[in-house]
Amino acid sequence: MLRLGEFKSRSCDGISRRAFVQAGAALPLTAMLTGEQIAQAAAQAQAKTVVFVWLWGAPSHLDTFDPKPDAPLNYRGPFGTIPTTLPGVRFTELVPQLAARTDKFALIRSNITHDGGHPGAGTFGYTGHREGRGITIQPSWGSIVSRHHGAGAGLPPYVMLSRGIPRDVVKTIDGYGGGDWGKAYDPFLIQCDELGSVNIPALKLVDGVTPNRIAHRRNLQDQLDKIKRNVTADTFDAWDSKSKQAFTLLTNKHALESLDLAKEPTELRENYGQSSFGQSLLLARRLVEAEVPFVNVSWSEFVEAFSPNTDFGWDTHVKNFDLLPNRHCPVLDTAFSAFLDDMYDRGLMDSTLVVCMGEFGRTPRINNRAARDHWQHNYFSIWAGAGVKTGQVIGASDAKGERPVTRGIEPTGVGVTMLDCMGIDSIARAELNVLPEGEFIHELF
Amino acid sequence: MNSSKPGSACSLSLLLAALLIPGLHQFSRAAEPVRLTTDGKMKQDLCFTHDTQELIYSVLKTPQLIKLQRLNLESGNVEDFHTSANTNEIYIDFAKDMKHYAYIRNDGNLHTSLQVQDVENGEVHSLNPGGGFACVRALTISPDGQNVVYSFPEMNGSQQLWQTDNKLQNKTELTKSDFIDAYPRYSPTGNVLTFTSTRSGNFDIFRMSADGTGIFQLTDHSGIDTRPSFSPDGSKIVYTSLRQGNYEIFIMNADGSNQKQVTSNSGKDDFACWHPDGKRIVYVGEVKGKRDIYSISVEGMLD
Repeated sequence: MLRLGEFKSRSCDGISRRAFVQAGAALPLTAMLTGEQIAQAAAQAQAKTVVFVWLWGAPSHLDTFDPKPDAPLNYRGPFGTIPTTLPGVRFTELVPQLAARTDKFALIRSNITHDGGHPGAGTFGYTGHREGRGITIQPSWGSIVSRHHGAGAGLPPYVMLSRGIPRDVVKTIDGYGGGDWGKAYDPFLIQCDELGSVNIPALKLVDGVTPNRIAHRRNLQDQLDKIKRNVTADTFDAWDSKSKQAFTLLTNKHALESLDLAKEPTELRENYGQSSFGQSLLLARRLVEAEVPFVNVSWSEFVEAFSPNTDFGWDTHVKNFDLLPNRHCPVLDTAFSAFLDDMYDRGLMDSTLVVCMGEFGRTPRINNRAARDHWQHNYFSIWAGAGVKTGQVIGASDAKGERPVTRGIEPTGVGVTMLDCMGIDSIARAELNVLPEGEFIHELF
Repeated sequence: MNSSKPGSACSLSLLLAALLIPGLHQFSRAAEPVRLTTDGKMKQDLCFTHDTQELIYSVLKTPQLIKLQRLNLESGNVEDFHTSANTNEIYIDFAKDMKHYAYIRNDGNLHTSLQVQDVENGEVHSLNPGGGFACVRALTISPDGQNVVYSFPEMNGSQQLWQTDNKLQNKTELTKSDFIDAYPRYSPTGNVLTFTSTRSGNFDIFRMSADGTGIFQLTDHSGIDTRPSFSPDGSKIVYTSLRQGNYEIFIMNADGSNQKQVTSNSGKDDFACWHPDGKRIVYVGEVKGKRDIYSISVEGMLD
């Protein structure tokens, strides 16, 4: 087994000669891989779908999956730690269900990014690139998958399950969608409320049509009949791509059924919890079954944890030690555990890559508001499915959770790994002129 | 500021007995919980008014709005407490004579203020904790309505308890420590406060005199113990604990002895308060993914 620092290191197949040489140049000579190892890794890293769970606002790594019980109190915070199913690995007491499921995922504790603000780090997290004036907006992971795979049977190839495009109170992030490729590659936004009712904002763009609640079948049929009566070839052509996608979806019975959570057993819906995040994850599972290639579930539209007219993201500059135990962690723990169980039970994980992460971590040192601020120097991500070797922790942070003591995993590495798993290798990426850099996270496979 | 350790041998032995002797669970004498709401929405911060059958709580009414609601226990009717409120409102507490109540209002980006309502003359007093990200946390109003105690962070990363009068004019820092003090609650006499603190290394429950002296530790577990609230006669305290790996409701004597588990539910049980009759606990329980308000009799546990 080859080792890179503390990592077990392997590459994957499909890597171009150029990229392979680049990777090889970056590695110690002893880390060069054999063709057989490359082929093995490639065989393990195969996905038909990516589910990208976005913990928008950035959860504290110390208060969840990377606790530091031996650090001073003004770092470690007030939460106790509990054992996981992995010997010697502990989480905080706020995520007991996920602690009992560490055999179902791999945890990276050495993520880093390069922007300490939400929009910038959000764009990094979605594209691997910086945002700013005069900077080309790169397409997001989902948009790249969307362009590479094309549309499926009535469903758009890149679906975002969220109340809205990720944003803070000032602006939306630049990198959520197609960027300079255009809006044709933007995500198709679907809102799912705490009761599992689905709303498609794109329909607001169609004259005379109000948002549909898919769960209300009669209302939906009435709406569809109204649309069909009013739509002619000319009016259809005049719509933008998202309205066309919405109309196509709603007139496709198979696609429509994928959005109907009423078809799920009551007990299963309950397992996910009565929260928008939980029901969105259940909807994501149905979209995986419908072979949507890229599903992005966002915790919230806004980052802000407690601000008027926002939807309670993870940005806990204040009330970190109130909100995490009271609301955020219990919801995450319940919903994401149910999602993992459900996906494994249905045999979907062999062909689905699940990635769960925020845009950065939070300050290890408690701030002057008895909470935690932004921390781009170290955070976590959770990976499962598509050949990911579960039951392992990859990377490590220092004694206070401030910096990785192992190789930092960058957003470009996250993107390259997701895209490689989807068969979008370095050659395909070069053809699309995206993501020329980034190191495949070999340790996952 | 020093704090005393509890004499927790009694509670520890009871806990061990419950774990070791099958069928002798401490919660076995609590009755079955009765469900009081059915909408399943996220609720927290339960508080009874003192002269009625009304329970006030905060609820995630829409994806972007937490409102205070009132539940009439006799009729089952639910209505908004502040009908015109258009921003998040949480954590309400009432004076015994109902002439004053206090709550927290989310009046800016990551910013909350303390509000005290004078019911008789309609005046509202507001304590703005400062510009930028600044949040008043939890609060309690004295039974006579004259004082409010609230938690507020300090520059050193700690969080202290402050007292102010009901006009929010004269502020006094009750606790001065390097720790996080939170969730204060007055005793029925107003002479004592119970609160959560990290003085022990994690969240445990403490009590002290209302002037901030005589801090005494009531619980001592590596899991979270939090959100204490006195019984109407002041002899008991109800609180939430994660000591068994899940959020459950516990009660104990006001001196920390005789700690007993009230609920045993695979979901999250939290935000408990006493019914004014002193025989029941009302709390938010998560059952089948829904967060509703439950009432449970503890009459058989009050020895």
